[in-house]
Amino acid sequence: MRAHLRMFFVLAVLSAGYAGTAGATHCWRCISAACVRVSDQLHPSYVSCVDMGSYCTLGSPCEPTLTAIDAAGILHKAVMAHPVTNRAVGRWFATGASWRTDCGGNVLGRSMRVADASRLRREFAQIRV
Amino acid sequence: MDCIANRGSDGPAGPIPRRLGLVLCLSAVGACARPASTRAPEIVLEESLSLPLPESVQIRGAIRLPDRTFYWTQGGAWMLWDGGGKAELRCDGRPLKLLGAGRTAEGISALDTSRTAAILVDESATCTTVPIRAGLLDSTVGAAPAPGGWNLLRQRAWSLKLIRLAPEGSDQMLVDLPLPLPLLDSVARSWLYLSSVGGNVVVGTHRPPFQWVRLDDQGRVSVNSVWKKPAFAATGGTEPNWHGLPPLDLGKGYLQVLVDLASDRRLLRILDQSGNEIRSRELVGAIAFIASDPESASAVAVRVLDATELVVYRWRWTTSQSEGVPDARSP
Repeated sequence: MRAHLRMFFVLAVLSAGYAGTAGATHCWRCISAACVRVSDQLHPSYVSCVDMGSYCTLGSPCEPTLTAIDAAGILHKAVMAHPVTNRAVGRWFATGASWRTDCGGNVLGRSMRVADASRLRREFAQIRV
Repeated sequence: MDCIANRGSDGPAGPIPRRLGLVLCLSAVGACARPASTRAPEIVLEESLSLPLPESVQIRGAIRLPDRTFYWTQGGAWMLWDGGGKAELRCDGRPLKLLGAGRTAEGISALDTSRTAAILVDESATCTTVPIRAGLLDSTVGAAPAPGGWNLLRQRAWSLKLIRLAPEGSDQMLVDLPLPLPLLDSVARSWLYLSSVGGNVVVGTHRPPFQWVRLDDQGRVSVNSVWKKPAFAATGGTEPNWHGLPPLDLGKGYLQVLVDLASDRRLLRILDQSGNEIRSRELVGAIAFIASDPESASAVAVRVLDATELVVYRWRWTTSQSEGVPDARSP
């Protein structure tokens, strides 16, 4: 029984590791075994694909050092970096967000329909706070 | 509240409700007697002009002047005139790579990382360059101009320091400024920003509780603003996804924008001069205010709809009783 458990554990780690190494050449794919919730102090609603056994899965805070947010608060890039090596270990995405990103985590296609834009442009012509 | 209506009449309500009405009226007498001028003033921001920006531009910072806007990105710095016209600012034919910039009496003062120098750009776009000690900007994560020099936020492996850099000819003088302890926790460290308001340095965190402090020339805290959770919870926001932008000077208060990184929701907060929130409004649309000029009562916003725009707004203060009428205290 113990041997079966050990084998199961090894297979789980290997499969998670495969998911991690796949990211080196392909887009990171989020599978349930490799999806972890990172620090509750930082983006608890964010999940990320990380390779099992990395620093981030130990419950330590992961600092998204490669995240690019401009002066207007527009998110341009969302990549989680390994806090020691600074190597990108996963692509971040926000739960419920409508942003699409490429393999490098660069946010794509933010523009909206012309009709919606016209409505908002009228709405924002005067802002009362 | 109408106190006269609460006064008891000899109607069917009887003596107890009458007394209750009197108590209610007395307890509310403060509200009844409060003049309109003491109510939190409302700010009205009206679009003045809109200028197109390149698609997916990543603005690092901006300065609003009475008739133009200066902004910089990772790759350069530009001036946009309200009357039309746009020019990239270059010094010695090379683009600027700015760590920070601010407005001074002489023009625009900027710190350039590619030259390791402080640069003053005057009205005629002439550059005056003052070299900075090599390596000083390497670990600097933020910079904001101060009277006669610069404030730098420097990060080393396990320390964070706010220092004053005062160029005196080719010499540099460094003075440590104390940084308030709540801003020094490890989580907030990578989310700190440095900006300037009215010649004073502002240090704050982009993360909840969006705390920021304004320091005077001696490094003493003159304003300490901390977001109050209940007001934010009313918007139904998921706190950790929100990102606080630096406060902007409105002359007699501040405007701070909180941004939901996962959507287009924005929370506009008006703070009084002590940093307390007096009004807020939620918008759904990618818009954020990034610079202001109290002198001309104008502010600059970046708006990302079907295109990316830089929008100049003019503001005026009103009270709810004088709807649409400018407050006498407006700049």
